[in-house]
Amino acid sequence: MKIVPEIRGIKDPYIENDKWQTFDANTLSTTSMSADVVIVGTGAGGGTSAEIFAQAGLKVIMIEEGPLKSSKSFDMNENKAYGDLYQESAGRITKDGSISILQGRCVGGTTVVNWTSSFRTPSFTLDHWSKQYQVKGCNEQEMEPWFEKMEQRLNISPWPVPPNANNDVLRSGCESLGIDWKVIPRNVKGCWNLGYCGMGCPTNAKQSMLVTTIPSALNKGAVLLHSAHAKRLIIEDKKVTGIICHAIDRQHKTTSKQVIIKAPHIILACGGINTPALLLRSKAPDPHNRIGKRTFLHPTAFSFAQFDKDISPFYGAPQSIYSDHFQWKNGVKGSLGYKLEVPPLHPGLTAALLMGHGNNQVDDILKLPNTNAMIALMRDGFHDESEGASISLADDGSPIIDYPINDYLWEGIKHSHLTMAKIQFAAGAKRVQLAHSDAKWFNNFEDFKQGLENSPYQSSSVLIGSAHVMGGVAMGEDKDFCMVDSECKYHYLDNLWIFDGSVFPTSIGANPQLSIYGLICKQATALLAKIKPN
Amino acid sequence: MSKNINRRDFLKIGLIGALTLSVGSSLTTLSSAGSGSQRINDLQFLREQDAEFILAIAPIILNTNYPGALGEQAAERLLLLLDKMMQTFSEYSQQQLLQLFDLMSIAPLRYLAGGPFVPWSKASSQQSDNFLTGWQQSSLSLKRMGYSSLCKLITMTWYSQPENYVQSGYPGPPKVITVE
Repeated sequence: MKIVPEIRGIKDPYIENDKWQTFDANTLSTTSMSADVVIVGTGAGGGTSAEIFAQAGLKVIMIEEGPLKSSKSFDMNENKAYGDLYQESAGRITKDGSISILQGRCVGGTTVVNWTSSFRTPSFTLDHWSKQYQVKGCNEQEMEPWFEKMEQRLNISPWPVPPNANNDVLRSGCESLGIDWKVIPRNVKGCWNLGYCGMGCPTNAKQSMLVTTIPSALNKGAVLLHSAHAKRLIIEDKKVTGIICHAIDRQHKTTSKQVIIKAPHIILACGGINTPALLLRSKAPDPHNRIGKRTFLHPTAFSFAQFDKDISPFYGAPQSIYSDHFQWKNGVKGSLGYKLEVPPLHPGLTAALLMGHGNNQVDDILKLPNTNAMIALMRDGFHDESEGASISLADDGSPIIDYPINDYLWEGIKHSHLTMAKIQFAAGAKRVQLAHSDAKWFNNFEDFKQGLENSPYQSSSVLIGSAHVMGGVAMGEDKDFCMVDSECKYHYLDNLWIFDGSVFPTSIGANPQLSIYGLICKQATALLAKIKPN
Repeated sequence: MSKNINRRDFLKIGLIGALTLSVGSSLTTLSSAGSGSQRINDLQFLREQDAEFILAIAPIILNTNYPGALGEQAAERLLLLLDKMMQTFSEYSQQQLLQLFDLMSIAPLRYLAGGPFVPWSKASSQQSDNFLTGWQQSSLSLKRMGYSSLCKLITMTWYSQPENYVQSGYPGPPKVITVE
């Protein structure tokens, strides 16, 4: 695949629009602010709701802990992107180190760094929520108009361009094995097919919150306060009366510079992990001790393959082909189902994923242009033995993510390793690596299978990642498990709504951005009708 | 205070076992007292002994790719980038790293944990390699976690440097021509 040699002619909306009210908390001159609605977090949930409230004429303040970075600074340098745009510089891990988590931390949140895959919430998932957690008003028919609306808003449609070679491995392998595959819908407009979605889109083609809903809210006079960490909610008599925020420095550390934000309506949209952590820091009412429980990650297994032909897995739309063949096969609550996709491979991230060290690793990384990787996203949270992670707090109030991996999850990962290797060999791979820390390669499927049987499935021996954080403040009417009602209002406080992926009672079984957009568009519209009846 | 308790817990349950608990506790306390403020260059998170440890294992992990085109700048670049990244880690991750680095800085504990008895600055390549391989294949999950964390942090930092793209056959990103 040929690279586009240069990018020219891109305008940065944040430089063009000097009337937008954007403030860095570090240089803010006031110590208090107020609005009709305050939204903490500017990712998929926060961005979607900010536009709805601001366009209706309400005064909105958006708070974001990450910095404001826009296309001018998206230079496709991995190291810089991870430091600028990701939680813990892309080094976030679970408590025992088993799972590495990629999560955004910037204005626009994870939507700025995701790989643009946009799926509606599967009907199996919505049905399960309704049956198991008494979620109301969210079945497939009820959700359809909201997904349609957000698909139009963010220009979501199946990728019309042929897949890059990395994605084509998944397509051709599935094709020759009779496994069904489909084209991924993406939220892009005028995409240059470059491959740098994960480092901030340098051409503003990705329809992230940064270039869609947030500008729309700013045009209506909304205020954006970035580099501001929401430390604690002030809770008095079943109401949130204010949010104490601290400016955050370039090392991601909170400073003593404080601003208190007040509004009659408080919306948290900090995402899984960070919304539960803020509620825990605030000692929000939680009679059944549920905050941060059942946090799901779509734990993701990997498989690497080398080909004789050029793959150039660093160029081209990063995700364009998927397979749900193994997703619901064993029933919604049966043995672990998974979605198959491929990740983009740039050298820094790839080197960290290609486990092992020394001579062998040097050989492996040098073959990057001929390397394909496949991923299997485990649909966690549906089976009784899949409880996900629980969030607790370190001394400084930062979250600790404890995700114990049990045999149920290991079985799913093992199964997916076999599936992925089979697909890669069927697509013509010369050898496939079992993603264990000893990083062994196998020249055919039989040897791979043998090698897998002899390899220990235990923490930190097997490569597991995550790019999707869901749950922790579950939605539903069953108060034994759920913290917010079916409209995402906090069960135990009168003016607090949770508008992000942390309300999902299970994982989604698909990349979650459109699930968040659709659900939150519905919930924010319903809330608006209550605040401002026509 | 809480850090010291955590360090003791780490040694107790993690690597050394109950037999060396008393030795471990007192030595850790000594080490904390002795190493508090030593810094080199502009490092904020890494201490001098931590830098020595990283510079002993990085050439083994990166093998013939180290120091590569960065030459004499390689050590400083790697340390500054790791230091910058580690400063952004959560408190829990930072504590885990500091505990690991503490363990690596105290000769008897380092030796019991599979490292060389001599300081890392005097360790041979073979000793560093043995240490890494031992932790990679250990039956103790904390050692495996240490191994995979160290490898991931060092390789991710290293190969994302434009000077090192050639080592992965990556031609690099398109050139951006900005419009003002």
